[in-house]
Amino acid sequence: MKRDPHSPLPDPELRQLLGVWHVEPEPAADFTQRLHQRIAVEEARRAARPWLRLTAWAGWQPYRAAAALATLVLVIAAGALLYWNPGGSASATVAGVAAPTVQTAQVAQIDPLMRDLQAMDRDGELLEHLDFLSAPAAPAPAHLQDQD
Amino acid sequence: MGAGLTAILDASVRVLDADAELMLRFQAGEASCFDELVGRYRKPLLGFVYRMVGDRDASEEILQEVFLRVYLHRARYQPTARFSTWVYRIASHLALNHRRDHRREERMERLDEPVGEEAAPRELADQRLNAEQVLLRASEEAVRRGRVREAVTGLPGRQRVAVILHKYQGLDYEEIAGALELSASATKSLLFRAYERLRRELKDLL
Repeated sequence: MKRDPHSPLPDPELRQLLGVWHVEPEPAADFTQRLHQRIAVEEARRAARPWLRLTAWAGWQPYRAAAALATLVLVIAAGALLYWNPGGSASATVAGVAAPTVQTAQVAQIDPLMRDLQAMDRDGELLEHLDFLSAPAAPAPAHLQDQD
Repeated sequence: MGAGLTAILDASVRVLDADAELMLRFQAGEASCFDELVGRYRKPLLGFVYRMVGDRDASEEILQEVFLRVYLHRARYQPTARFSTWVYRIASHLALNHRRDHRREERMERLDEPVGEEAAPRELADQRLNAEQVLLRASEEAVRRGRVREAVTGLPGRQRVAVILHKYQGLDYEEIAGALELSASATKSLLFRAYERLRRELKDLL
């Protein structure tokens, strides 16, 4: 008989040859008993851990997608509520950060020198004149020196 | 009723077999249905797992684990496929994992090679051949059996599962595809390659 090269079925000779591998193992006599013991142990272990029952519930296929979606919606809703609630703790924190403290106000009013330094820092001049600020003062020209 | 649910129910009705019905009754709380399923599947599954791992004790352990998972994850079963597909998928995963973990310490307990007084096949004895002929034939048969076993167990994981399910467990393409989580065409291709390889390796015995 000619073999069909596209058929996955083995040809009769190969089928017959593969058939010589007989395996007929019998399960042990106490197989079912041991199985039930294992089941009892596993169920007791699961009962002791409620989160396993929760995952078992979540694993129930028909409702898995719905449960995941409901959880996601709840998380987003809770986050949105927390963010936009004006009386909520999140808003209070933002307000607390925005309001100037006493120390900040004092720093802002120290004196004009501080503002000059800040302006120089913004313009990148502070570093350029750092040597000027830290070096010992050069002697003033003769015409500017105090005449005692 | 949503279209999705209707589709699931339609699919369920289409493929509902007696085992799937037992499983659904077990899901609904009839504990005796689980024992019925264990009774129906423990022997064929043990044969499958033994051919996969080649160790009797390990096969029984894996089989216990298969039924334990069926019991614990009963809520996950959906009758969109045959029960056999689902249970063989679990068994395949566990057997492949075991093989991966114990590749180096594989030992084949020869359940398929009778020893001692049972060495001669019964049909040969019935033919009243003399003792020498019986032993000779038995020895040839044992060699052939050993070669076939080595060739099948030497196949790569999925090819091995596919051949054992197809040739020795009698599953059809659809069931094998379901157990291996492949398409039907990929399953046919897998089987084709597996049988080609077996044909090459056993060429001298054909």
